[in-house]
Amino acid sequence: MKKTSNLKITQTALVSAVALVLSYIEMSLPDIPFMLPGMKLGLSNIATMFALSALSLPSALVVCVVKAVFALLMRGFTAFLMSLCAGIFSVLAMWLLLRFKRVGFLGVGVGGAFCHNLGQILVAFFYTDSTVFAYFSVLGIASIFTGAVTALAVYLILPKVLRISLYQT
Amino acid sequence: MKNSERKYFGIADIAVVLIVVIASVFALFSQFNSDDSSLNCVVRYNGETIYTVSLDSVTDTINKEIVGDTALTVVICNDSVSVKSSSCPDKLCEHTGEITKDGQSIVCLPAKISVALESSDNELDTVVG
Repeated sequence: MKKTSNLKITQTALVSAVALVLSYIEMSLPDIPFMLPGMKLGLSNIATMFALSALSLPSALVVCVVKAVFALLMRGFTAFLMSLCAGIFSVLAMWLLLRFKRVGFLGVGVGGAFCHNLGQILVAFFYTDSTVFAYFSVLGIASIFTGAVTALAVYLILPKVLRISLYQT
Repeated sequence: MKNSERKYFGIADIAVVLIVVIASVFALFSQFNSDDSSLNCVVRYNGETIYTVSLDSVTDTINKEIVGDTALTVVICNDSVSVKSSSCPDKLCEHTGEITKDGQSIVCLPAKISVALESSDNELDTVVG
């Protein structure tokens, strides 16, 4: 069995910590007036997307689980399920998209944000009924903008962070 | 390909954005098969219908107490439905405001309650995908 190196654990832990801080900042932000309630920028997706592009798929999944446990502690079990399901959906989507050379960060971010919403809506559907899909159309269009913003952040941050010796593998 | 060399915009991004737009529009149209028939306010708990009222039959405003996992008060008028107060922590249901059209809904996840407006003679309105 392949041994997980201390370096990888440390890298993943650092990204997880960043994800938690971003989640907390986002929770503290007020709802943007002209947007629907529940619509969010998805700041912590910056961390998962970074984990995927700079580290590996397992690292990104670990970040998702840590985020979900944080949601469980802060907002309860429903939030945990939604965060976990959405996180895994978006990580798998972004991982798939990152395998294509012609997909830029924009496409990865939008695809990830869209699948994040899809995961959340599926959990909401499980709890209620199909009326939540009306919400999904608005969230889907919004994910083009939120995905573009978070992807831009990763695009700008990635080359700079990779210069730090901790991330030179 | 190293991700640090990846561009912000790739040609395939157009396809990704298009798929997202098409899926969203599809989700929208699957909900709004609007016609002029009268509306029912349907309250569901855990997916099961627990309260139904036809908006046409409402003359005075009804304040209906609904108890799911948490309690909330639904205000039903002749032309609109809204959630006035809820004991849930996030209050998203209150902030959704009034719904007036067929297919619109208010969802309170902590209570596992959904309040939907559905046209009375179209059973297909809630089937998706």
